Amino acid sequence: MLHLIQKSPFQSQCLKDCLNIAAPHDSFLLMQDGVYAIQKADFIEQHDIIYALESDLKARGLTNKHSNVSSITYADFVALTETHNKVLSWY
Amino acid sequence: MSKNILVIQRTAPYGSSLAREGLDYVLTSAAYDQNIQMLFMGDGVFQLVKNQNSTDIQLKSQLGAMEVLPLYDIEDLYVIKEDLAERNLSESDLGLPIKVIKRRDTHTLIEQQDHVMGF
Repeated sequence: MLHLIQKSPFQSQCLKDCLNIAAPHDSFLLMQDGVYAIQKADFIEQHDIIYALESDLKARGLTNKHSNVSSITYADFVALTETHNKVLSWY
Repeated sequence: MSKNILVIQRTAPYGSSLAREGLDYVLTSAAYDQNIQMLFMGDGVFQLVKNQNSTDIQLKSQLGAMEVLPLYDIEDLYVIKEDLAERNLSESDLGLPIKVIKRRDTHTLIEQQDHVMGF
């Protein structure tokens, strides 16, 4: 399952709600203000598969320094929605 | 083709239109013979509180609107136990018959679905 995180975890309950019900090996895509979750160390450390939209990172001056976070394009995003059986937005 | 769809209600009623839109999605999908289950989590549990009277704020009652769910054969409603407890609510505060599940059992419910929609 792929979770689309669309709000900053520092402002919104989204990420917390998502993590409450996510299964251990679910994947996460950070997008819009959700890319600020890249600054949330405990979240990044505790999950294996995290993607972040490069254009949203770049717009906000954020750099991906984590080996378990892949910076992706919109085309990659479309491909991810095809390879996951369920996709759920958190906003 | 009929699919199993879980609709997750995560927002309180009235403050935004999401709760209402989620319910509209549920009723529309059910009219097209989809198998719908609903999960109330986070502030979404406030949609279930009994004795809602929204006349004075000129909005339709969310709970009142949900009373039609059995007519659409939607009877599998779930609420997360810990989310109720965090908000100082118990099953007796709720206005609909609902199954209370533990947070850690939620992903089992999700695994049984073809699709999951969040509002």
